[in-house]
Amino acid sequence: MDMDDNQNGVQIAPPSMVRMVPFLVLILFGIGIYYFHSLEHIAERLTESEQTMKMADSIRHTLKVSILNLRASEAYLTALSTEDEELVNDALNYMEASLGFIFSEYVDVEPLADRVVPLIRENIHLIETQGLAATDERMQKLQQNLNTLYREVAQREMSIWITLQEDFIQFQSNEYRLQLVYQFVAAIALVF
Amino acid sequence: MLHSPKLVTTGFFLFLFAVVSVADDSAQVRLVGEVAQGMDYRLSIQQIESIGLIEIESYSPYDKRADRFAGVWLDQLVAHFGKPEVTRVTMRTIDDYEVEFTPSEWKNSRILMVTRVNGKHISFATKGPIRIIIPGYDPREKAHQVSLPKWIWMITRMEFR
Repeated sequence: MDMDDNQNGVQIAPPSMVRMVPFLVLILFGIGIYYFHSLEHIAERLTESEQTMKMADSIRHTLKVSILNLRASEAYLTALSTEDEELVNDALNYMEASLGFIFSEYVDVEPLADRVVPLIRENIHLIETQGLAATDERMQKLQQNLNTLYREVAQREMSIWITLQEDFIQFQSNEYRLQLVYQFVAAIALVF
Repeated sequence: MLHSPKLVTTGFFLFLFAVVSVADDSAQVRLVGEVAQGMDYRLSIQQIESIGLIEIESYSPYDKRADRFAGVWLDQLVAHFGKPEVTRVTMRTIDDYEVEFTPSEWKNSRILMVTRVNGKHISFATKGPIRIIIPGYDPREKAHQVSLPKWIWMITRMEFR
């Protein structure tokens, strides 16, 4: 008995459909790469995000160290000119608070702690011991410590900022490379 | 080698920091705005603690560890030191960072005004004299993550409005 293709529902795919198969395979391959890449990098991206947040926080805290010591200096100078004991305490509080920011969660605390903390400690000691009876020599030392502190803090802030920029450039390059892979796969699929 | 020079240096500074940071309870916080009648406009830590010091153990995402935090609940603080019509509390820190709380927050969330950590009063150098924590932090909860900026330190001023 002859088989009637039409009646038995057995059909051969038309040539255009056959040509679509590699295209579909490539699309699936591209999607597969995408998902594989995404899954592989979820944990990595989370870590990167946390590190970026930490660096942003560190820059913020670094600048606060400068700002608080500047305020301390202003408060102390005003205290001396107005003979206001309370402003001496304010100056000490600002300096203490700047230590609090250094020892908060920080991307890399050693460079700042090594160089800046001793300067702040010395200035706190100078203010505590001399109070409103400041001498020129001690005031010069205080100012000298502050100038070194501002310089160190600025360098630290710059260093974190450069790391942040480098990480961002690396991230952009990786994403660009991935984009090229997708485009390449899509182009091959279109050719077929 | 067990300890790298980097770790030793950090450890040394943290030790030095802990030794020289003498936390006391003499710090004061300014109250402004709708302050309850008869209340001082400068509060000592003892006055704040006198309304009901409680202690809990909680994880702090900023310190990346669990500590024992003692202090008073914000709702109790507002009820005690603010007028009944207070609808906003603005906390200001020594670096002028400001955070505002509404009644829905202090009634629905447990907001602790921390005055002691691990049994000791906290100084400016250790994020005191008052800091805020919201116990029970869960990093998977979006609401908890959103509230992180409200975990402020070194509070020097509270404004009741």
